[in-house]
Amino acid sequence: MRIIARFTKSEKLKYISHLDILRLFQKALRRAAIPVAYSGGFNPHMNICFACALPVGVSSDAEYIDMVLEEDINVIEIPKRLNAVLPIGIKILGAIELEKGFPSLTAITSLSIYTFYLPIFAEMTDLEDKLKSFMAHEDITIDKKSKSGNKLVNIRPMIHKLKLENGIITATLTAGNIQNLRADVFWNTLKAFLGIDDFAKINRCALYATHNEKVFEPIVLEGNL
Amino acid sequence: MDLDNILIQVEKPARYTGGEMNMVLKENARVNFVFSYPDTYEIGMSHLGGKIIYHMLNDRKDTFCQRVYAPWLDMEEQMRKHNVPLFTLETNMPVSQADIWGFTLQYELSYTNILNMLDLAGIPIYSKDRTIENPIIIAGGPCAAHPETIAPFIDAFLIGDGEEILNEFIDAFSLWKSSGKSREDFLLIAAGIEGCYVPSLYEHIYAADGALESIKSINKFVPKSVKRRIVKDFENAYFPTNLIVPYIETIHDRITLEIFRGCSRGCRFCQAGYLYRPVRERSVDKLIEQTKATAKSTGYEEVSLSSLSSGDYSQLSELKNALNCSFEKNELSISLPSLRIDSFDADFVSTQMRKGSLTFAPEAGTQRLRNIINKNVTEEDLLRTVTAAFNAGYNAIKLYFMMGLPFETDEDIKGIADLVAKCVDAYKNTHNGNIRNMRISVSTAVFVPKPFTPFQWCAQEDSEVIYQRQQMLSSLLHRYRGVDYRWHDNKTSLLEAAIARGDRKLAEVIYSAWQKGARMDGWSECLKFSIWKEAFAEQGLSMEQYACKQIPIDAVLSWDTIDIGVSNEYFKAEYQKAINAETTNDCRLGCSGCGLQDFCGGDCI
Repeated sequence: MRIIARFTKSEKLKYISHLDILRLFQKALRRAAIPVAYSGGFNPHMNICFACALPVGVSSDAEYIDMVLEEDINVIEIPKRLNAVLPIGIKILGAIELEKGFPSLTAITSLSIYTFYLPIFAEMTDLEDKLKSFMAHEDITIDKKSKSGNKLVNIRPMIHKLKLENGIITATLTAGNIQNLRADVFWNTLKAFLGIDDFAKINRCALYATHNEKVFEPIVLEGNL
Repeated sequence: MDLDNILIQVEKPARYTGGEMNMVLKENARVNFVFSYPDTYEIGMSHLGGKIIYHMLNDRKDTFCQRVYAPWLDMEEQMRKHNVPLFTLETNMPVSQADIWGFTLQYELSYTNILNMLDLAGIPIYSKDRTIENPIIIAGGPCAAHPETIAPFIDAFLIGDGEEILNEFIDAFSLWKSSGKSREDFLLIAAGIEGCYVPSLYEHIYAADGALESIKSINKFVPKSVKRRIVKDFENAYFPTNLIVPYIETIHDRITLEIFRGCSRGCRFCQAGYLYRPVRERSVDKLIEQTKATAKSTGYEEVSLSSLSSGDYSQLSELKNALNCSFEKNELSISLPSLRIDSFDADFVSTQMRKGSLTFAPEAGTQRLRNIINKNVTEEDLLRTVTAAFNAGYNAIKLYFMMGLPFETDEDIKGIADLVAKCVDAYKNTHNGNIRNMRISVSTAVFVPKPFTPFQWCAQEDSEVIYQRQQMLSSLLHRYRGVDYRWHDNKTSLLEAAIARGDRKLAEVIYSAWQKGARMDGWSECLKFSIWKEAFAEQGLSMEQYACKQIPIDAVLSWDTIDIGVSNEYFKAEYQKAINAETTNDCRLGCSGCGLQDFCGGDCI
């Protein structure tokens, strides 16, 4: 049985790394007695993965875990059982069953929406104009660090939307396996442009996938976003 | 407190944010306790004693126990830059708001971290400068048994097993809290609790040559000596099953089961062997119950059967069978640390453990020296064991030795090389002469004489001699392919020995070293040896005078106030036996009269 679940990562837990969240879920799934399938081989491990890694320091309302179960269970049980054992700060918001052959969320994740908040945004009267002029650039090249050394990358094509609303900046950025613009990398670029030095509160509020030319949220929450 | 600007700039910010599975939150507790292991989060969260204290205190309705560990250098820098006081993991409460702040003393080289943490919390470093506004600073753990070097910084030490005394201490605090009496009054009350040592109530008097002449209590109501606390009903002593599960990987990230406390072997160099007497075992039923409950509440898949010498547990095979019956295959793996060469269980190794490497500690290279230190194992034991391990499919073993042991000569160092050669032969014999995959790691640590051992009077070997012996062993082992030799830095051991047997005068040295920037001294990359040298010299002292000098057998010892239950006469007799290279039996084979039976008021086994 193939299941995906959407969960939050709170402010308090935003410094827990991607790998540590994986370890947490391994233990939580065992505690919740959810029959996750194990890989074969010499060193079996749980058949789970996440849609898109979240940088350390970013909270989220749209994390996704993708898992294969050994036995079928009622999908309603997933949030109920996991929320009973997960720490405060990680909450399963919903879970759905997918067909067996459906591509992994990791492979089809395409967009991520983030909010950025700083108290000083409210005082910056020209913020909206500045964001517009930022978006007016055709080329925003940055020095991107990677395992194989630094690389010059134009990130402008990966910024799809940038808006200001109620003192909060919202940005829609490319996400996924092939191309990915990390929220912290984006913010470092934007804040240099805006001439501020503080670390904003960043939250991922939605994640989108693209499959068969359709762009969609894997699990839509009722009543918000 | 908004910590974002700080946390984003430090390594492993999750060290400072808490929020783990099974962390406890509480409101309106009468007693606000903070527990600290004065080292990093990863080390502190691996410590079993801290887990017991945390959950035991939080099980009390009137007490909220929070945690704080020593910030790493980068975090300290950010905290000082942004004026952020030391805060707890649970609620980000400034530690200065605690009622009681307790430190565990596991290692002498963590002392500067305690001073640093007090300072980061905004609490006066010296006990005498604290007021009713400040928390009561207490400390326990093994080093609390010889605490004089940090006595001026700590209000009260709790000696021995913490399970009972800590509750009594908090009861007394809770009564005092609303009494309107002074801080000094409370410390006098605390001194009346058996096992509670309040150093400000004792005066240390030195002779003209600087030697300790006598110790006097300030009045007749203060006990002359402080007796170590021993939990007699270990079977039913508090043991937590709802352990906090850290997010980041810690040193021991698994269920730790305490199968027994104490050790009956009596190795003469080992402080823990005397400090945790007598041996008290937990029953198989109790341990199975604890394992099941802990596995359920944590999701851990690995359990470590922990103790000072786990192969000595009298029901080991019953326990293994019971664990295997209680859990399905792959549900739980079992690890067995502190294996002894003579209680090694080849069957266990071949069926249970991962094929990593096995570690054994013969400690000394010749039978003569092993008799001197009372490490009752023989060369035959070692060779039988390594052969069994090689036959079971292990290609890698680690061998631990000590260097600079009392009465050690160059012959004993050659003995180490001979022993290693025989292990290489054992590998050849089990692998048709093919040693391509064999890995034997030999490591030596420098012997540190410790209080409450028969070697407490012995001098630590001179650094120069240690260096020569390390070089000698290195060249002797060089000829073997597949054998590598590592040795511990002897600067660390010199400092450790000086502080371990130090007196109150060293408090000024520790304070000055901290002020000059000493931190995390147990981390070799952080130890600033020159600072320590300077700090000793400023007080007209040296590390060598504490570490490398033989103490006269009738001298007043700075730790004489503490009575651990093993008599000084016994230590003297054991020391004499060491000189004669005579061994002493394991307690379980017959009492050798260490004094503990009288201390416990009856049988101790």
